[in-house]
Amino acid sequence: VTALMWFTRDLRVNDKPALRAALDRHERVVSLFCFDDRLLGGRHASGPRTQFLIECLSELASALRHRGSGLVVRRGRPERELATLARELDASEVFVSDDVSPFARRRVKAVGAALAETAAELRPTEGLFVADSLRAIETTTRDPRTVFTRFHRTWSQQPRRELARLRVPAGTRVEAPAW
Amino acid sequence: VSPRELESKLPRGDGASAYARQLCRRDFYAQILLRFPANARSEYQDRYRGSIRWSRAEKRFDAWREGFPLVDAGMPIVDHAAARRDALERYRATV
Repeated sequence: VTALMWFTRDLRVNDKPALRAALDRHERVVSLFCFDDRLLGGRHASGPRTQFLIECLSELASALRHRGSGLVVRRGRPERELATLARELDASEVFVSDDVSPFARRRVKAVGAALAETAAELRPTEGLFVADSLRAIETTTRDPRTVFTRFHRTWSQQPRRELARLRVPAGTRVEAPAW
Repeated sequence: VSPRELESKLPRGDGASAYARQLCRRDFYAQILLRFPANARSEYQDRYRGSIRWSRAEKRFDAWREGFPLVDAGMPIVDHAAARRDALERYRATV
């Protein structure tokens, strides 16, 4: 069965729990990055930033190629592109790193809604931060920790995940067959 | 390299603790944004919310952008998320 790995930020293959989970549970994992004009253009358009993004994507694609896979790149609204690709590949799950910004949260919600019309389920997965359960860091009255020093104290004692390493080192063609 | 991996490779010592503290700042601001999503668009503290008269002079804003890639890359962060503004300001001061 097939999973999609939807890359948004953190364009790497090591310690990427979403990718690790996709590989653990699926025979075939297809990685996708979707250029989104809302981020490329508009008021915050930045040539250097886009250049940096493209260089990161090129490194990611080569890291995936070294492992016998590759990177699918699309341009458009992620909800549309992901739903289309999920249908084309008959994917059953779409993995993505769970993010915090309002934009990212709206985006993942839209993708979840679009995927509801397909056979695929969206799996937001931890991994963008050092501690996985940021929501668990709160005061005794369950309010957010808004003072850094207090946050730091609790954060230091939070459990840490094992590094999500890829089983297969670079150069071996086993996992994530090419698409 | 992930922040979790960086933390896992830190040696012991004051320098390493200071480094871990900076990694923590990243998680801290992520947590703040998670808990207070309105921060992306408005002032964090109650006493300032809605009471600051921000300039909307786009031309001055553009002029302020200096063309340093890191500063340009940081601009959307400052404007969108108000995250790590302090660090970016410090960086701006050094270039």
